[in-house]
Amino acid sequence: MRKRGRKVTAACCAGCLTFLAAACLLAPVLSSCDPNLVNPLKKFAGMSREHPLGTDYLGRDLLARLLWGGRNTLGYAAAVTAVSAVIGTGVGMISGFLGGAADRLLMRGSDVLRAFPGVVLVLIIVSILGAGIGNVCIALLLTRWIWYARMARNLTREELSRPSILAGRLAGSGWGAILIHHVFPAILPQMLSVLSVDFGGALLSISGYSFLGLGILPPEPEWGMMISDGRSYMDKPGMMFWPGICILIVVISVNVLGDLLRDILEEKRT
Amino acid sequence: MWNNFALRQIGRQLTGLLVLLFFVSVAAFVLVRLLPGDAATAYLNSINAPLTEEAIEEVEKELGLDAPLPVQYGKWMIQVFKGDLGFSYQTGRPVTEELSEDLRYTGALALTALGWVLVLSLILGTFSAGHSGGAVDMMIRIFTFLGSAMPKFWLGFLAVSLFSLRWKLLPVQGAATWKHLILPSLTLACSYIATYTKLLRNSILEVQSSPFVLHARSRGFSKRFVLVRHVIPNAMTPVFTTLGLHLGGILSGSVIVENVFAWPGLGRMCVDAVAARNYPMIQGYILLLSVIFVTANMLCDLACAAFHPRLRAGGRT
Amino acid sequence: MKKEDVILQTENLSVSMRAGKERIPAVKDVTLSLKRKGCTGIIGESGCGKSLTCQAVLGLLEPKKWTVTGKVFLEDEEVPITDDRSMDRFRGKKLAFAAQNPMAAFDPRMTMGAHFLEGHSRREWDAIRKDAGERLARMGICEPESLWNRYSFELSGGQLQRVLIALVLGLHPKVLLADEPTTALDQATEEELLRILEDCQNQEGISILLVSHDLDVISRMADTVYVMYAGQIVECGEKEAVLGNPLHPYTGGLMRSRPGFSKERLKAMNGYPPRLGESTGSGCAFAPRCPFAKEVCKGEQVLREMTPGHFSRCSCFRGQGEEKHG
Repeated sequence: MRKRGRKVTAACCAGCLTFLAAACLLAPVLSSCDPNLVNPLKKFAGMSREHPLGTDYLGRDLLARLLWGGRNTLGYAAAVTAVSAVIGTGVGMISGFLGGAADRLLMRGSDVLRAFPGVVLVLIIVSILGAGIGNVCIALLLTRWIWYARMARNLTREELSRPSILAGRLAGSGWGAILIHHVFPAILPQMLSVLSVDFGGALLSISGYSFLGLGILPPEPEWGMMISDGRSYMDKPGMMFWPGICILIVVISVNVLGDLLRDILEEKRT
Repeated sequence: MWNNFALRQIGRQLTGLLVLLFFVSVAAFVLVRLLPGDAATAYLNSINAPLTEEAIEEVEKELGLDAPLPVQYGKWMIQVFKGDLGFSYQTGRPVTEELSEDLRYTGALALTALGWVLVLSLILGTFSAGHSGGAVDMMIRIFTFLGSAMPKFWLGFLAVSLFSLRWKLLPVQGAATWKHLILPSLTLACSYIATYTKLLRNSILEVQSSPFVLHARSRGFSKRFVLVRHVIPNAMTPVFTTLGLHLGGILSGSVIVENVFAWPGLGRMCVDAVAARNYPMIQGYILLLSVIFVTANMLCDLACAAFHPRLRAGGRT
Repeated sequence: MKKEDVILQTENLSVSMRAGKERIPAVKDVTLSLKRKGCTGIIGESGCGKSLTCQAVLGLLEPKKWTVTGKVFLEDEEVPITDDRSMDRFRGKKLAFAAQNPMAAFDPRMTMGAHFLEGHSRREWDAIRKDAGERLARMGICEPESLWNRYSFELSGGQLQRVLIALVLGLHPKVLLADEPTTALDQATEEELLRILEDCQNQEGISILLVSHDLDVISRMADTVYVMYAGQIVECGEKEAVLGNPLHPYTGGLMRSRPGFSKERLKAMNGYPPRLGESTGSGCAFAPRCPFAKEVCKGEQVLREMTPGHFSRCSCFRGQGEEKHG
């Protein structure tokens, strides 16, 4: 019963994600409109064949903006997550393997950074380097990689204490080979579950900073910024509704997937 | 009552935070000293003096800008401790003055949000655990998923368009009365309510199955009495230990919420300041937020240890 | 035994676990009785339903997970074991419970003293404190006052078990259900604790339902013994009869797996008791492990009176005599 429910949920979430991602990737095919083409004559057009979701306050096609905006939002969030995961996992595994002062420093650093208001760090970087999505991404990278490092470090420690690692050593494998062939595959599922939930967080951050006007700069579309555009036209809910619902669906899906993965892993352990 | 282990633990945490505070202050210092529109120009601007080369040189000498950087940093820190953070480029008023005004609003917002989080997640978590597996539990769990995935800026507008525009129950924006506080604080609290409801539900279920609860029941105490006296206090432990972690998030989140609701707090001020490159204000915001965060986190740790006798006595839970 | 001598009586007490729509039986038709001021022992390997029986009598099994049927009588009154609200009248007032693991039986956030005072009004506090102090002193705790402000993690298992028993005896119950009270203790403390239990039986007139997997403990304390296997009572009767001349091969097996009881080599029983929900068919649940199993054992076994007052659920084993031949 529960297993089937789980499969259905997982399939739904994965389906939603794939659908949205594919739609955004196929933006040029799905919508012939230029997302940045201003047409003052067609402000706030309703749904029509030409503009399936209508137009915004500058007469730009909402569907095109939604799809092209999704490319930005999802793309940057994925890039930040992927890069921080790769750097973090690498540093974490090496740190867990080496131990010593560097390892302690990493742990203490992550302890302290764990709770620090992210806004402060982003603001420092954005005020030094200037507003823009690239700088926001750098700031997010700088604060996020350490979580993966911490997680990978703890998991590596755990893996390295297993007898099978000793067996591998006795069989003559070098440490590098052990880290890559034994430890990495063992910690991968756990890291993926963290990554899944973290992707949601990165997406919320990126669209949040764009909403504040610190991230993607106009006229480029982005979901958070589209919501910000819609704020002055609260009586035209379409402008805010679609990007919001897209963010919601993506974040819920990755959170649920991450949770399911974690539950399955926990069950396997016990 | 407090033993070495607990004190050492707290001491270590404190040193870490102070080191971080130092780095943040250096960054804040560098921000103003080394950036476009250096300090001398900024100073001349703030007193509306003409920007001639002699004037800049003179000011540099006067402000000690020709001294090596560490010395400058030391002098600047002394000034900071005296409460002198310079003048806002935008208004020309002392930064400290502006910050303390805004802080009151942000403080009210954050504390109200914290209150919502504690009260609502306790109620929802208890209900959810009490009806675990039932329809109520299912609905609350769906809420926790929605709540933690909802972007704050979108939720805020959604709330405004429903409660303020359609039903006209609450004001749209601003900060005039206590009614203005309801929507922003709930919006800020929403994702944390979701997180803590989930946390409390699991923690209550776990505590409920522990032998001491069974034993308390066997001594003749009613289900409700045991829930209030034993289950909830013990289930709150993870809430208090993670509250410190989420303080930073609440302070960060207030930036977005303040922008949505035009709440005249620190967050809105600082986004304006970034847009206007008002460096003294940014610097002040960064320093103030870091200090608040470090203090609050310390208090949280201490409160947590005081709340849990085992931590106080030095064991690990 | 005469009815008026009996203080606690269960009739066909059954417990089953709910798993979806299924019901997995865990305790089957347990009928047992406890004499006034007496001590009834329940013995069996772990997982045979002893603790569940105890908790069912106290009405402490979560109705979402467990279905309880059957009746329990305390003196002449029926105990409403399936009605949680009305059970509050019995629990802690007439029925007291000493849990398996004293370390976990105390709220980690409360001092020992707070446990004693809990639920009492401020006016009674001094009296309770005095009473508890005297009781603890009688139990051989040197400075009862020093325990008052301590937390459970600061005390040893032996101390905690004594405090726990003092705590429940302070409620002046008629019956004490002691679930493996000595398991977490070392040999010397175990001895001490059994003495305490004997004292409260003799001096305060409390009847004890003692659950244990330790034959020594049972044979020292109990007057009546029930042997449980796979949720059923397989043998019961007076202690002398059951332990002196076991009529069920399982009891025999338990006796032999105890060190020092006989000069023979220590023999552990083969195999394990069936797990919860593991099907044992309609026959004797012990048959797969039984050295005397015959074809008849596949049929349903009933609890039969073999000698007066001595019941067994085995149709083929006739005690020590046959064992020697077989």
